[in-house]
Amino acid sequence: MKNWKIFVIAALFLAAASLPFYTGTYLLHTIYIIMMFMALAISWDMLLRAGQLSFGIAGLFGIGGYAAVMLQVFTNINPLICILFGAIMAGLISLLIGLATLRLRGMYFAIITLSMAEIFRVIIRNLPDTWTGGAMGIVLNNAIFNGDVKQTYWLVFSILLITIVLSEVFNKSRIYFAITSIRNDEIVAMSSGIDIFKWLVVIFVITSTLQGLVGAAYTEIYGSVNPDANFSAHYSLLPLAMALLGGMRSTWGPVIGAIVLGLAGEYLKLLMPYGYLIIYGLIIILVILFLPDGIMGLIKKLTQKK
Amino acid sequence: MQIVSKLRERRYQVILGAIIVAVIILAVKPEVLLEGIQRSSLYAVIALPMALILGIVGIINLAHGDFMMLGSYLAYWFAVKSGLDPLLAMIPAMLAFFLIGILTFYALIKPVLGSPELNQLLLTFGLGLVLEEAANLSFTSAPLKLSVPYVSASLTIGDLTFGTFEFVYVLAAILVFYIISLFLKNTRIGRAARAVGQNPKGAKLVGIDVNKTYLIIFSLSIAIIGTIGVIFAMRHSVFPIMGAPYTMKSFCLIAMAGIGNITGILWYSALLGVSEGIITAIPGAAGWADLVFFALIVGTILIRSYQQRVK
Amino acid sequence: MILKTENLSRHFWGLVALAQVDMELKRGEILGIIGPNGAGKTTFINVLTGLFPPTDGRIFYEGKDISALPAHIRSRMGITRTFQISRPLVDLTLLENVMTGALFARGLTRPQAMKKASDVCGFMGLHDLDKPVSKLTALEIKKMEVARALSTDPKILMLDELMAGISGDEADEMMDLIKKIRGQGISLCIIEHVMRIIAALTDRVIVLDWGRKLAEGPYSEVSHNPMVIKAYLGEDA
Repeated sequence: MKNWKIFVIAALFLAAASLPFYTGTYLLHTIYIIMMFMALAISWDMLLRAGQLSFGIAGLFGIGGYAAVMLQVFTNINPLICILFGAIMAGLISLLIGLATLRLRGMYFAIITLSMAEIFRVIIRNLPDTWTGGAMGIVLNNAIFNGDVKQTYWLVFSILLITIVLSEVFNKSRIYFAITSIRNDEIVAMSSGIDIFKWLVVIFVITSTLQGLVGAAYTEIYGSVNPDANFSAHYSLLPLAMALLGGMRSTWGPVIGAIVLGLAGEYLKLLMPYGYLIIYGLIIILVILFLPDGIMGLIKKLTQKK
Repeated sequence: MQIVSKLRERRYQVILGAIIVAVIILAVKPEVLLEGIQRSSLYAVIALPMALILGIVGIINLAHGDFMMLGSYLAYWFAVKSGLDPLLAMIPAMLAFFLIGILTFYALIKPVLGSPELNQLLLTFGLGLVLEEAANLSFTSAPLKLSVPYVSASLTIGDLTFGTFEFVYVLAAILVFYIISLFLKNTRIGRAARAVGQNPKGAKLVGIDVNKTYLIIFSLSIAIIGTIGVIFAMRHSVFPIMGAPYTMKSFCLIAMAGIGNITGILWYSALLGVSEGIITAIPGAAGWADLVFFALIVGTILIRSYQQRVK
Repeated sequence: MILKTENLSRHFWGLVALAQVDMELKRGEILGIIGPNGAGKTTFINVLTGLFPPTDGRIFYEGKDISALPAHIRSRMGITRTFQISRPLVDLTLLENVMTGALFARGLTRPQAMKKASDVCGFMGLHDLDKPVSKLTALEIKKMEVARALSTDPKILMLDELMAGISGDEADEMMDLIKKIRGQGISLCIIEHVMRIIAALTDRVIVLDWGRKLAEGPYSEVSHNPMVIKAYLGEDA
């Protein structure tokens, strides 16, 4: 039984890794965009497993992007290092926010994250233009890898891999026990010796770092940042809808959701160039009302009935 | 006894501090205080209905500001189609939004009342998104502005110039506050609502129809916020995402005041409104005013969690 | 003496839940906490285990003042409890539930925690350890909570109305288990309403009423105390 699963995963991995060798540029580009959102969706879900809802993915995404580009502009080091720097800065900022706010959780934390992207956007717009480029943002001389799609794909793929691995670690190690206890019953978690605050801060920082990593890669790939684009609510919404649709609290749920919504999104954009966001809103509502466990939940129910 | 005297001390300290700040502002730049109070009232009157839903139904309506936005669009459409004063739109708005509240409750809210808080948050979040995007699709994102002559009226007393229409917000805040307070204290439904808010299971045992209470409170809140949207549209531009910042600020006010404490909302609105006014008045710093609410809520959380540990 | 409180009080916005309670728990003893409904018994345990800080007074554990320590630290120090209304961790299996205590209060590795949890479950008479919570009976859930607490290797175990809703053979089995737990060197505080159980299990009893300690001593004495009888107004075994 176990061998079968490992074989499938290995096959998928090989297929995904070798994709650039037999896929056209446009399709490859679409796929790695979906992969970026997949990574965001998985990281969002990782925090959700600890019982905390974050509406602020865009905030960390944008911070990662800005930090990477700013380092790039001021020092011109290897873009990969800038991406790492972006991730670390997102992690640091999330550490500060987490330390300050995670003593009150649940809806308080959710609303704070809701404001995060907006707050960062305002701060960056107000900082001196020489630092952050103000409202117009910053444009880089060159995209990473000179725009080579294959290498870009492998970069994004690596980031996705890291995210998936971490997500599985969250599901299989003692972290699983901690976050599930915290999510199910904080009082029991406390009574079992779990330092809830410390765990939540750590998990928030880890997931935020991942989101900053994706954001940093994104800006290096597109070669620019600006306050409105990189802090767009889009980056909070889509991953959320993907994880919700695919099935919360698992690695493969967000993966499935990302594939379904990513592909559907491409199609939708052709049909409804404007306002297709409404579809995501409807998806969120419909999933919560009728399919709260997402596609994964549906599959589980169907396979159990047998 | 010990606790009571401690409270008294701190309350007096805070009131003293507020008076000192007010005097300073009046001495330096009086408009700040006046505009601050006007803005505070706007925040308060928007936050109060949200507090009602949160305190009694126990759910955060992340679409709160978006219902206000709908009310604003209604006012605009009413004024443009009928040529009448948009203020008159308040009456149909109240009825329309009460109905909208009932529909929304049955379609969306009631099914998730028993679900985890996270699901409820996601649901109202999705609702807000749908409303914003529907408005975007129907009306585009271009800001719309009603032109009503008397809303830009201002009064000049000596060196001081300030808008007069904005005092409608002050009036509205006081009115809504008292209506809600009296409703909760003196009507049968209001008292039932308080019971439900404190202990839904207990209320049910005593024979209160909990679902009907939820329905009435929710619809009432939507009716109020929709009507406020009408007033808002008279003075401000109307566009699809206009409501979102108010949702966030309202929640922060409620979080600071504490669930169930509507008097606190008035005080904290004043704090927020006047602070924003002060920051806006500082030359070069006006852009930072939008951060004030965030600083306040983070500050409040820090202070509260510190207090909990020291105790 | 392993646990001691001095002048312990807890208010909730003007409501006095505990008032100036002095208590001592001797090592290896079973102390009963009794009193009419609303007397503050559960609040007492909540404050002792660190769920709420005391409003006044102090708590000493093995001589150290722990009044300001949070719940998870106290749990690691060896003070643990069960809950009046069972609180299973619904997304974990029976074994996983029990393991949480071993993993986090004792910092064991997963294999170690699994072994410890299995042993404790065996001790409590629990089988089919991979069952999800949704498939457990009420009695199994209660036993699981005790097992979860025991896997933290506690020195003090506080049971909040463990025997509620249990009668007959099951009650006898539970009482035996409680005695065996004490036999392992663990000191116990038990809140109960059924006096037969209190009489059979406890060495001493303290009586709370309106947050105050009314009386203390062996049950045989306390049950004849006129103040105590009056507080219960005729409630008897």
